[in-house]
Amino acid sequence: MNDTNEIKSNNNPAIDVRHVSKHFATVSPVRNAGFQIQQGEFVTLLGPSGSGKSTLLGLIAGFEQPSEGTISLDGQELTGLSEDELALLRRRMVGFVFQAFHLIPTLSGLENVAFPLYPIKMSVQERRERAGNLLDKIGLGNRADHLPSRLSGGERQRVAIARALVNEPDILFCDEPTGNLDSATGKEILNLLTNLNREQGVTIFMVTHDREIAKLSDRSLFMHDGEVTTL
Amino acid sequence: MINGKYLISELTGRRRRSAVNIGLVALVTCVLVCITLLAGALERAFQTPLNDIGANMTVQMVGDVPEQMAGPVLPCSVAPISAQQSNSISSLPGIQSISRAVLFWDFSDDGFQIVVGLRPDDRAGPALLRGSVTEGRMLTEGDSSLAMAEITWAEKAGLGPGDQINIGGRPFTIIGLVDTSTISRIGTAHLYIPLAEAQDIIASAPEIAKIHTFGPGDSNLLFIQADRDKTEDIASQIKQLLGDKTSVSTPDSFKQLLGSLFTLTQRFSGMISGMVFLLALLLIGRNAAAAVRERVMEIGTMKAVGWTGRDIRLQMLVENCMYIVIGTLLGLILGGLAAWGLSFVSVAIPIPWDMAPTPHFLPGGEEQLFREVRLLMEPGLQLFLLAFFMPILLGLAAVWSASRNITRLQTSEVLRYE
Repeated sequence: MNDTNEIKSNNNPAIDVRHVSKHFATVSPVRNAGFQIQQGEFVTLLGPSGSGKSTLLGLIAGFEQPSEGTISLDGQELTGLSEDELALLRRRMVGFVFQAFHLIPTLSGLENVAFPLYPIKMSVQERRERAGNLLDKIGLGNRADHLPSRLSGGERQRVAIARALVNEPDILFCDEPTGNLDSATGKEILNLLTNLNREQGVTIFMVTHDREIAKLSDRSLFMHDGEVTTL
Repeated sequence: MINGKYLISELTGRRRRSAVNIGLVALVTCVLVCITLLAGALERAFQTPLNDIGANMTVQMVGDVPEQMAGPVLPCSVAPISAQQSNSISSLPGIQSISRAVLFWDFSDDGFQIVVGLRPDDRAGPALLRGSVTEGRMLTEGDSSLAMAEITWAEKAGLGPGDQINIGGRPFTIIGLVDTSTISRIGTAHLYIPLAEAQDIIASAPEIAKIHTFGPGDSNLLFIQADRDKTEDIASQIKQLLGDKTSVSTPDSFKQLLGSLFTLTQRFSGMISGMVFLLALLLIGRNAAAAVRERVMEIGTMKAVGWTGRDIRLQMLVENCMYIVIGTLLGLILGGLAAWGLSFVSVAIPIPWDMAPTPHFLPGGEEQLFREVRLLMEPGLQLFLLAFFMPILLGLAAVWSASRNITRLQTSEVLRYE
């Protein structure tokens, strides 16, 4: 993420998916998927439950290797990278926002935001400053010391978004980020994400089943029975 | 890179898991410390009756029962051992010194007394009574017609230093009183006289001559100092040398007298420790695996936000090390306290009648003698090795188990919403 409103000028697509399939023993949740997402785009992936959205997101994020095809993030092909190399790539260029927040229950809001920085050599002060600044930006500066159990659903998701941004990623993956929130809080979170995309040029790839959310994005992909189509 | 904040938050934030892990390690450490210290204390306790008299073993011969209880007689458990037999024993490898003594009963019209003949300068046996003189003085080399009396017996008999007493028909003057109550009862007597005079009395006693041949330099009780780790070997060699009627007492003899519980504790302490330790390894490994399973989402999140497998394993390693270090320290403290409590317990080690014979037909003659020994807990090399290596092995088990489960974990689990 850039501090200015500069849109990424890299020529490589942020996400490049070519002929990707994933086969398990008896099912193929992803079949011959292919699409590109350019730098700074906000793209939603729509589809009903069980259509393969989360599996595709897992493949693009390098959680799993595809059975066929290739996936590149910002020109870096994921195929053949080891688990640790994929983790380092995610650390460098990817942020994640999950439906279930996945905050560490024993850490405060500030520490949760700083969590991705823990394995990195960095002074405690710098780490706290970066995490604190992000919490201030999302309006949770006053909740920095609270454990997740003492935060509301919306506050938890905002902490999770701050955590996703603390590594200054180029791409933000969101898996049903409002699925666990009431509609008002969901709107707040979506505003936060669209502002990030428009003002800071962060590429967003969001999995959702909500067509209203899709209207906020630059374009939408649709997934049905493992196949991806453009709407 | 380890983050202290996260480490402490995991230890303090998941109190139940921390308490279970630390408690388990502490319990195992405590049990192992207690078993190790107890086994050592019992081992030392069994050696006490012999240590009291400065020996590792005693040798006696079983003989015939005297035909008539008149004048000096030899109890059936202390038949003569010839000077030649004693010399053969002293030439066995591992023998450091042999102290000879003569124990006999002396019956007279007035009563009965147990008498021991000793050499005052001996390094083992009744000569060690020199540390228990309460009044008067100890016999010295060259003394003649002088005796020492056991204080309780002397009080009952109304005797003290300077009084005359008759032993085997010969007059002796009491020069000192000794208290035998604080030491082993092996070879203790009412009266102690120079060995040469005791040998003379036995050699000329008509009742003894009827069933034994007692030559010059013969004795009937040997107190042997030998290499501690060879005592059992030497004991069997002595039995081979002297024949079936030989009775050799070693620390192991006292173990057998104490019965199965102590023998089992001794013999199987290593096995029990090993089983406890194996159980601990399994439980620690299982807990570490359970901790990983419990944190599937958390570990998935770590991977998702860029923690490498090495980062996660290092974090788990340090967490488990903390549990193990804290648990071990706690266990050592608890084990130390338990051992301190056990050190107030005494074991009554029975002294066989053979080693301190009294006539059965006299009052108190069938009373079992015991040596009360407090269980002294002395931390040794074994405990040090236990405290050093056990945490390392437990830690390795935990890390191996955790690593195995982390490797198996699918990062995509974090995308599953339930």
